[in-house]
Amino acid sequence: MIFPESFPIFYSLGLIVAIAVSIFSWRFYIFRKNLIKTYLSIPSILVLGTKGSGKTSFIRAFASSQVESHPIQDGFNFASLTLGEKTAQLMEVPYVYYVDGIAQHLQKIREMNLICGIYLFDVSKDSEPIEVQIENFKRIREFLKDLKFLVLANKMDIADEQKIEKLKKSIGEFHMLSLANLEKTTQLKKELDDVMSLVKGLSSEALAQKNEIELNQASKAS
Amino acid sequence: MRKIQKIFFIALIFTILLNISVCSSALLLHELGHFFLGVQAGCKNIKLVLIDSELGTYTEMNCPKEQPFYFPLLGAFIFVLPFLSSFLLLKNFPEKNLFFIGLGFNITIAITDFPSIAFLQLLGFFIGLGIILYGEIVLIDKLLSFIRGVK
Repeated sequence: MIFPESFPIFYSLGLIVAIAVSIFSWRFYIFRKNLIKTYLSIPSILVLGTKGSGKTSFIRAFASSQVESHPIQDGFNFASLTLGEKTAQLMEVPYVYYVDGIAQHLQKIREMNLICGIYLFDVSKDSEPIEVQIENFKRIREFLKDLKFLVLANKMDIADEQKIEKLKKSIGEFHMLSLANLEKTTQLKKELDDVMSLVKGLSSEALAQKNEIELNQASKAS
Repeated sequence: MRKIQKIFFIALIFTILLNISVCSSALLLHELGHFFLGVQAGCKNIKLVLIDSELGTYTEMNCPKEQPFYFPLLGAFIFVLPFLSSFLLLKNFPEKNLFFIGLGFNITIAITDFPSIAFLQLLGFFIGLGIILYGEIVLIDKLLSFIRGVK
């Protein structure tokens, strides 16, 4: 006789739970790994900007799905965006992540399939000093050297002229936007379409470049 | 809390609860199977014990000699099958795979009813364990994908 005739019920259930938890840990590890791989492989557009610059509103206005918190990246919001036949994800990077310790917090971003970045400046009267915003933008651009950026000045409806002037001097070319009024006037609706076509232009250019690099790599490998 | 952590906790708690409920139900039905088939076979002094002082679960009976000894034993195994087969009706749900977990568990508890055949016990145990492992893997994989889709 190998097993006892009467086997305590709690032993049997305990054994089943132990098996279930062990297999669960193993399968969840694989599931998480695959999930991270999937999210990292999706073409991504980073949306950055100072606190209250309208990053979430921007994603809400342009995305083709609801804004959700990212399953892997803490504090990141994301939504999908249709670019012709392809789908990309708009990723909102929390402001605190690049104020200090960029390298520490944004290391994962480098592993992503980035196609472009959108930087939102808040040019309203009550916003963070424009010098600080410009400094942060430069640090981000330095950190993500190979990435193309689309620079937008948001809150043009309540803009501070001095801030716009300073921005022009430091950054050069940028596009103006007023997300708060996007839904209110037909004139501003055009603004949304313009920005959208800029994003699409930037993204498809970057996508084409990526495809070209991949094709070159594939032909070299073969 | 991150979405991935939510998926982890929901799926883990769900898996544990499903396992406990299906296996304890299978165990109860198994003992009830002994009981009813014992009555059917004309056995006397039938005693069904769900939890004794040593936390054991068993059914005792004195059966007439003309009855084959395996009738109430195998009967208990078969008695659980309709309950487990009902999970197969849940076609597109991950819980469908509880059938395999219940079946594997049913085999492992059924082989303890044949104490004199050591080889059969060992064989049955490994077959049952294999089916449980298969069921757990498929259940958990489908459950994780299902929760990810819903969340």
